[in-house]
Amino acid sequence: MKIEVLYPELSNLYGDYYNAKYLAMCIPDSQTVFTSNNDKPAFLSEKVDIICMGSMSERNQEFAIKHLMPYKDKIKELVDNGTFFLATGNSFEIFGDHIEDDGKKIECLGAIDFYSKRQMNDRRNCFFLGDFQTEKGEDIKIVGHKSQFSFSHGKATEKPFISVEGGFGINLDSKNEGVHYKNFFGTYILGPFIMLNPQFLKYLLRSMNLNDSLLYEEEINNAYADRLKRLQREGTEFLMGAE
Amino acid sequence: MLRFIISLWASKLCLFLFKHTGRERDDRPGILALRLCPNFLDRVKKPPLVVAVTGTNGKTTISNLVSNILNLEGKKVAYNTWGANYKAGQARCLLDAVSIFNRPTKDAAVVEVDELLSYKTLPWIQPNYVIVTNICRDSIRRNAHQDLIFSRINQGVSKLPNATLILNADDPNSSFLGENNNKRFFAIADQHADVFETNVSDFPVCPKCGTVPVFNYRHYRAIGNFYCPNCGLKSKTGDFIGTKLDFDKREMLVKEKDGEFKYPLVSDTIFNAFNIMAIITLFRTIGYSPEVIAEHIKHIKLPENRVACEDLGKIKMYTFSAKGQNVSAASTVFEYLAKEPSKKELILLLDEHYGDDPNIETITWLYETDFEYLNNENIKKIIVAGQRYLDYKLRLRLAGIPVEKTVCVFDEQTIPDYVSTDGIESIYVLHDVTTVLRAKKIKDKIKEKITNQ
Repeated sequence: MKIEVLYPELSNLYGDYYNAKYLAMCIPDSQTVFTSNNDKPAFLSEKVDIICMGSMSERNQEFAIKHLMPYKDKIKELVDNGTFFLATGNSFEIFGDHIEDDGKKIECLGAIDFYSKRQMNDRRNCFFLGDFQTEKGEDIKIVGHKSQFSFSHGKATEKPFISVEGGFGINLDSKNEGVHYKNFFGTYILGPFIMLNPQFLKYLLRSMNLNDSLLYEEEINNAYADRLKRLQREGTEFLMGAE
Repeated sequence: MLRFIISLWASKLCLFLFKHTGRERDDRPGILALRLCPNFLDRVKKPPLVVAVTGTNGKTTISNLVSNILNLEGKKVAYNTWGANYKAGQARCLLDAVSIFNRPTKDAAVVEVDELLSYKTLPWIQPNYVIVTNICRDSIRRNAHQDLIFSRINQGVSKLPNATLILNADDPNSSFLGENNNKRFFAIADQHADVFETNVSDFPVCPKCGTVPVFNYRHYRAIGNFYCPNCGLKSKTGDFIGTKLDFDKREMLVKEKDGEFKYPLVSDTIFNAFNIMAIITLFRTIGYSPEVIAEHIKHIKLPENRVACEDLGKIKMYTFSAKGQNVSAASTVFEYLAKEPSKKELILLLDEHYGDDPNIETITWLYETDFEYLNNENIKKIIVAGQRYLDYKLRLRLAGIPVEKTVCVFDEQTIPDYVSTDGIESIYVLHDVTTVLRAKKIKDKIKEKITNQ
């Protein structure tokens, strides 16, 4: 079982690296490859089971796009072949068609059919509560926090990864959050997404045909249950000011 | 104009009443001034010397110390000691520095400036000097990331063509501010410190080309001397360089073009040594002699809401500002505590919300902050309280801290019950800027418990 973390220097802005770290802690005998932006990605030369990326500043996002563009076709092939991807924060935008920013168009990997629009003078923050429905019809509550300068649009955003119950969606007109295509999971929820959502992690492990028991399962479930209870409380304020 | 005059008179009256009813530390006169005249900050006359202090960490400490030194020089100084760094606090500060005829009545104003809003407020305040402490990881909700803060401060200082920037050459972020401004840099030479590896993403890649930078040396986190192996971007050179730091004797040597001079230190922490370097650089740039500055530093103290210590016989009890949500501040304090050799217990009061407060808060910072540092043999117990106690419980376990060394509870009132004193030399109550009073109450209860034993 191989986990590849792409560009940990660039994409660990909000503690996102802990997603891969905890995932590895829960999978005995797993191997984690940290691919620095000076290195060639491991997925080019060997089988990687899951690829993780995390939040980054907008400037660093453009560096990451530049690094990955030469491997665009291979990445599309991996996405289409059902390799698992977990991209948190704005990292999932890299897999779309392009990013628009104040008249500038930044070409992206084009692996999934959507695009993003940035507005650096308009940052939005919210707490998030939503529903992820598995293929078997099981509902998993998803919790988290979003803080972003950009939103995404286009075909792939119409099929939800998560249905929004509280907070805003993948764009301000949408009740969907994130992108779910085959085994690609991308969400604007930031940072330690997996640490916040142990039920989703269990689903992910089962989907990868792995044992779904978690390290410190009682602790992580208690923290999740408490946060869920607070977010489900009547009158919860999901939207937060930025300045 | 009429609007400004009405605003000035009304807010001066309000300030007078507040001062005479024991509410001096209150921003409401400033709020009134801005409500009556939104461009009050721009219109109010400024004293001959205005020092603005901005950046992520250290603003309040440096502002306090600068204002203390100016007071020791016999200057009349307008300054908000309580760290009010939004527009209202700044209006309150500058309001206090003029007469009802809008004529300066003080020699100087020291204005703390919130870094996120600096692009708006710095041009209004028109400081002669701007100290930028550093730019590093902070609260995600307010400050997003360093690139945003850099662009905000840069926008602000670009409108101050006559101001001199006092910058930290060892901060790879803020040292590149103000391309067209006059600048004076401070730095600390390699102290061969044993610096921990960090998770905090303060300066992950070269801002010019995106390559992972190489550090010649670090003092803490990403504060140090770097170069980019690809494009050659490198740290600025200090005009004032702390060459030899002696924390036992609480003194350091500072090299500059006129020679090398000895200055006192106000604490045994490297981050406060940087604060002192900023102060030395400011006052040397203004024109004070090293001897005068050194003499004044001997008489200044860190603000009590940042660090305070009480001797309880065998145990020393500290309250220490560590700032929840502020990843860089919390990690730096954790590193200091791991290295400070006394056998200690830590109490963490870093949440934003306590008790039945219906608000919730983000926990991303828990996974950015180096809780792993606390897995240290000198740290005998960690007691955490607050709404997010279950998140801490998980985080402390993931950091490898033995479960028997941790206590995580909802109600902070119960903390004293878990404090033990056997073999303990120090107790640290770490608090956020919003939990100073909460920390003081807990400290008093623990003190009572220890005194009664």
